[in-house]
Amino acid sequence: MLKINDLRVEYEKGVPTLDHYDLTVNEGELVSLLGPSGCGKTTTLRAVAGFVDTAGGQITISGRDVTKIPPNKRDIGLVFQSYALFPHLTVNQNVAFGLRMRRVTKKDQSKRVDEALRLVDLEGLGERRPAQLSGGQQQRVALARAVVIEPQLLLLDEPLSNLDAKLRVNMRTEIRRLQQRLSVTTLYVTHDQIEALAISDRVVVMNHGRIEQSGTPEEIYKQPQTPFVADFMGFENHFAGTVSAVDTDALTVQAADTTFQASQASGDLRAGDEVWVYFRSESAQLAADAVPNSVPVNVLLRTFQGNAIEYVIQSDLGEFKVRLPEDQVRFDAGPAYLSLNPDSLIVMPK
Amino acid sequence: MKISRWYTLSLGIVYFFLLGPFLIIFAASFGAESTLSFPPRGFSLDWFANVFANEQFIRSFWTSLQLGLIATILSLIFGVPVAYALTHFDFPGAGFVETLFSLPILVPGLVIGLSMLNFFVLFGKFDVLTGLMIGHTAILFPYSVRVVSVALRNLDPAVEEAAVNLGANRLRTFLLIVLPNIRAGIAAAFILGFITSFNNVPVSVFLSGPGVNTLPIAMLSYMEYYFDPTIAALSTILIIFSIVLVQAAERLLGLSQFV
Ligand SMILES: Nc1ncnc2c1ncn2[C@@H]1O[C@H](COP(=O)(O)OP(=O)(O)OP(=O)(O)O)[C@@H](O)[C@H]1O
Ligand SMILES: [Mg+2]
Repeated sequence: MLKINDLRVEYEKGVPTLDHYDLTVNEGELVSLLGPSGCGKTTTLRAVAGFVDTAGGQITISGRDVTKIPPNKRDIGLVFQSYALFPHLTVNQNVAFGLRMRRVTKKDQSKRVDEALRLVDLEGLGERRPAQLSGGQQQRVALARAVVIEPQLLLLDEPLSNLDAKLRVNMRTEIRRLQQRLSVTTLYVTHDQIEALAISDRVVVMNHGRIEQSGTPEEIYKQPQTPFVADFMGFENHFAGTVSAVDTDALTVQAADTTFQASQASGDLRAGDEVWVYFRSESAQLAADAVPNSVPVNVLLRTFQGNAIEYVIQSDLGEFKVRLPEDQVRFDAGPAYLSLNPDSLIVMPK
Repeated sequence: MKISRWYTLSLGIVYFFLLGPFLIIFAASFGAESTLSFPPRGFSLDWFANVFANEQFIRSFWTSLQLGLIATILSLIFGVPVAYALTHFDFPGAGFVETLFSLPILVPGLVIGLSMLNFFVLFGKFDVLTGLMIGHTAILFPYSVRVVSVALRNLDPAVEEAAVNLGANRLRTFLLIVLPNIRAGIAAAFILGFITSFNNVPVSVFLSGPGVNTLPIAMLSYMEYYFDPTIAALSTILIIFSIVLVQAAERLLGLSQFV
């Protein structure tokens, strides 16, 4: 559906904000762009919408090359972070604007506006002005205004970032339901991992204007392929090691004096490769005695965190955080063993 | 306690010097004596009658009114596109252009008036009214650009992009979305421009000529010969005229948000 091919965007000549950027969004799919502030998410969206000039590459929508087509002729629905409702128009007029520009008859306009407002649960508010609506309601108007034109492609730029936490969770479910009901191809920008995982068919993690990894929410969450993605997805611990043996679906990694097994396909890794080993603080265990896949540690600190107990521990491999369920045996400061399940280790080339 | 006493005192001083002169003019315009004096002795409305009987005042009032309206409208016709360009396009030298446009605010009015007179003598054979119109448009133009720019900068650029995204071209976006949202700014520029033109002396003094005077110039020449309360009566009328104008605009458009 949407195909971005080798895109390059420069705000300043010679300094690319996006470079060698390839992205495909399939028909009816919701893909989210996830990444830290300044990585180029909004820029990508604006390039697709036609508001920033491209310095190279190609953008096609349903096979039509739109790279040189002006933004008012692209037929894309766009929801802005600030909503960008027209302050002087009523809700009805806001939603009708796109239809008016398409010379839809007055009768059809009002029918479709009503339909769109019903879809976002705003029936009866059509005569209000944006200033007379709550943030959540304004958000819905923005959504209705974008989908009422039945765009081939829907773009949303951090649509929930101005709402409070509870409303955010409700709205994201609603956006997903709406998107599935209309089966509209959607590109969704967020810097919130949980939001991206919850709402998407596919997540694209970006960093410094490039795509780090793209995959289903589960793949991104469980199998990060680069240190950046691992960090970003909440793998709090890592240490350096060397691959000592490779098997079909297992790796042996030597780190300091300890040998670890990791149940992971070797991919490009070979014996002798320098690697990083990542693990989540929730997936590690503490033990009183040595067990397989464990390393002696020194417990430095224990903090109570409601449903979990967090330990800060020190070992030859570095300092780690371990989070154990609150109802498990507690460890006091002093010697213990950090035990790592082979399934919970992610090994990636250094 | 102390602070509030100081506050009251300083407020009192400011009001005294700000409003005092107006009150004197106001009171003097009702005096019965034939020289401008305070406190006035007696009461009379003769001086107001005198104002309306003076053909110079009536004629120059219409000239000033016409001039103010036309020059303000012209300054907006030129100023709005310039303000739009300054706020929407990042062209080389934008900063320089902006400074250039503020020159008429920074340069003393007398200097502008004199230069314009020279300029017209050198390059144009305009009649007096046209000359005045060009001169006034030129001094109002920077105000229009500034006030309208402020209004444009207050409008979220995403709002315009939303219109474009929904299929509107640049012109329709301007007419349907931008213009309605800066109308208070345009009204503010209009009032500010009109009053500036209506009160202007230094430029008008050079550009007015035989038979064509603006009201302030007519007032000045009247005062060269007479020192009776007619001028006070006329000033009272003008003050009320300005207050009504500004109040009406404020009611209508919420102008205070911009000035
Ligand atoms: N109009 C512009 N002119 C110059 N540089 C810009 C412009 N817009 C963005 N940039 C730069 O381009 C880079 C990417 O910006 P972008 O807005 O795409 O980031 P983002 O991923 O959307 O970030 P955020 O999560 O903060 O919204 C940033 O370094 C930013 O400073
Ligand atoms: Mg952004």
